[in-house]
Amino acid sequence: MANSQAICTSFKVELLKGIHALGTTVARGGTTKDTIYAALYLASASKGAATTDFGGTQGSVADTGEVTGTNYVAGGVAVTNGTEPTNTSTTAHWTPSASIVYTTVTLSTAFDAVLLYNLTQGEKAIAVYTFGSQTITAGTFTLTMPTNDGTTGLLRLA
Amino acid sequence: MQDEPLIYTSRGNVPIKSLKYEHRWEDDENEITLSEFWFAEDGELVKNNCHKLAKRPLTIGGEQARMA
Repeated sequence: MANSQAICTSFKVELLKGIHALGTTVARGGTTKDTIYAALYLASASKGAATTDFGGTQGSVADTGEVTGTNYVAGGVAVTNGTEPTNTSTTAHWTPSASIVYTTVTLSTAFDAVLLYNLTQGEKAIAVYTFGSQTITAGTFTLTMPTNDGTTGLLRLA
Repeated sequence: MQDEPLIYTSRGNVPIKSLKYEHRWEDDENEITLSEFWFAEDGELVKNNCHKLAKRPLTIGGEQARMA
């Protein structure tokens, strides 16, 4: 055997679980997982790596560039988070445990991105995913989640 | 007598048999998409569904500096 330089895989998983705080952190109210939401954005918006949080108020005030329309609630929908972060080989990963579904909505202006954000932690941003531009009329928009593994998991620390 | 099946559209609930249904699959390097469309007799799109499976998960690469 020999030593090998590496970021420990357990650390990657624990980052996703909020175990480590290498800088000043927040006082957490408990040990339960945070509530994650998914908001849709117009193709004309500019969400990306520089996005730090959901800029509106979940449930009442839309963010700049967020979609609006029949049956769409500002801030989007809750993400089903039934699977703990884990790892496959040296890659930590996390994937929502169900599809993200916007039911019976009318979204007439083209949208092409979804922002995952942490409602529990002040609506802080997690990730932006883009897709082919879309409109919906009196119908359902579904983002189907990939297989939760080290190759296709939605959020991965390699 | 059986009730006529209805479907919710931008024109309210209408008989599903009064609509023309189309669907298509698209599979490109970024995503797989199933799109469904319902058209009224006058050709207006009155309902559509879209279901997407992304092929581009986000990866954060961890890098280490050497200490010496």
